[in-house]
Amino acid sequence: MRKMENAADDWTTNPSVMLRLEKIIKLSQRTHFILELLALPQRDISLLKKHIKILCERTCGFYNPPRGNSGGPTRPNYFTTKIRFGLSVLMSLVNGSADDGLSDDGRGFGSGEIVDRLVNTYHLYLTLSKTTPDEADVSFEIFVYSWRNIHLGQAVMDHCENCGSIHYIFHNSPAQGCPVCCQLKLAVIPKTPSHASEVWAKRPTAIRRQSFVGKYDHTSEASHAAFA
Amino acid sequence: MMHADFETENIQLLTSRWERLRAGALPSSVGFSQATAASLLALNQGQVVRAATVHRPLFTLIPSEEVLENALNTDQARGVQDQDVLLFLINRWRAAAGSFTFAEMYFCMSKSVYSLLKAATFPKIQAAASVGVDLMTIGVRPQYFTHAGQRFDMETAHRTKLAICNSTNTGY
Repeated sequence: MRKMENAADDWTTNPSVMLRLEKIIKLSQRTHFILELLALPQRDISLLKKHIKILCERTCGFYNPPRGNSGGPTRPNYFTTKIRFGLSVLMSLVNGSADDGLSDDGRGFGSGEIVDRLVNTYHLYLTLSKTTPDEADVSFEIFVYSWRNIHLGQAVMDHCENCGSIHYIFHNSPAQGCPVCCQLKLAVIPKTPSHASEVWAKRPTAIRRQSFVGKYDHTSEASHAAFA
Repeated sequence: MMHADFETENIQLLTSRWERLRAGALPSSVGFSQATAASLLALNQGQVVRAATVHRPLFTLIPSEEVLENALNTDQARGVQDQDVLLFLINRWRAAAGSFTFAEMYFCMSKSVYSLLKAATFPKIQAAASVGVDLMTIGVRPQYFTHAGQRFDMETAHRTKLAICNSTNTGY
């Protein structure tokens, strides 16, 4: 029993782990997620909860952790275009550095450098998006689970010919197109004359626009009748 | 380093290269591929400035670290100082004076390049800018210029995200 307590105290006396924990709880307070991310033993879960509570009360002023396991993005309709766009930005930021030797070695998130990089990348993403962790399109947990899924081969990296961006196609995602083109509403640039005629044929026509105006025009009689 | 520094660097480097291309310089002489030069030449000056106004450096250091090391270790300046290369190197040298995290996140610097630049002095940076070797390369794909330059209603934050997703450092 004494040995077990000593082992549990190992990470609590390690300043680098505690600093990492302090950074992570600003992004997520889910105990199981942090336990997995910091590669801590399962038996230390109650100790970790105590530390999260202390750190939360010290830094954020309140402790309100989400319940249960997040389990990662398992629902088929989870990967919307907005989330896939956010993940494209995040993954490009993670993979953007030329530094090597920071790949997942199969043991999970054992390496502290990987965790540091994921945390720093997410902070940069929040800065670029001018948002907070609660309001961001992609949460830190989803980012970490998606990063792991990509490294485990559950997603395919794809390159868009139109905008030149890198994006990922997840196996359980219903949307397979380029999220960058879709989210930023980028025009299709034709490469060949045949492609140009194809793009021209798919353009929004005047008839479609006319029917749209007729449907929602507040001056039309039909609209007045609908709202009366 | 503030966002304005990225914009200043991008505008100066991209505009000077665009002017050289318009004057008839070969794409390889400015470090561009044919596709990049073609997409840049399709823009006017205002569109080039718009594409360069982004909170992310559009130019990166060349992948070969030996060339950078040799340039930094030259004894004396050989030719005329290239102002574009000098600005480019100063910005990275300033970033390397700070934390590695910042240099890695914003300038895609590896640890070895970071330590090389951290150890360099300002006269060495000045000498490296006058060696005559182009130490920078374009860090985005050609399609970026077409979309970011021609879309007048695109916000800077969206252009920044487009530049990040278009980065050539992602290994695709």
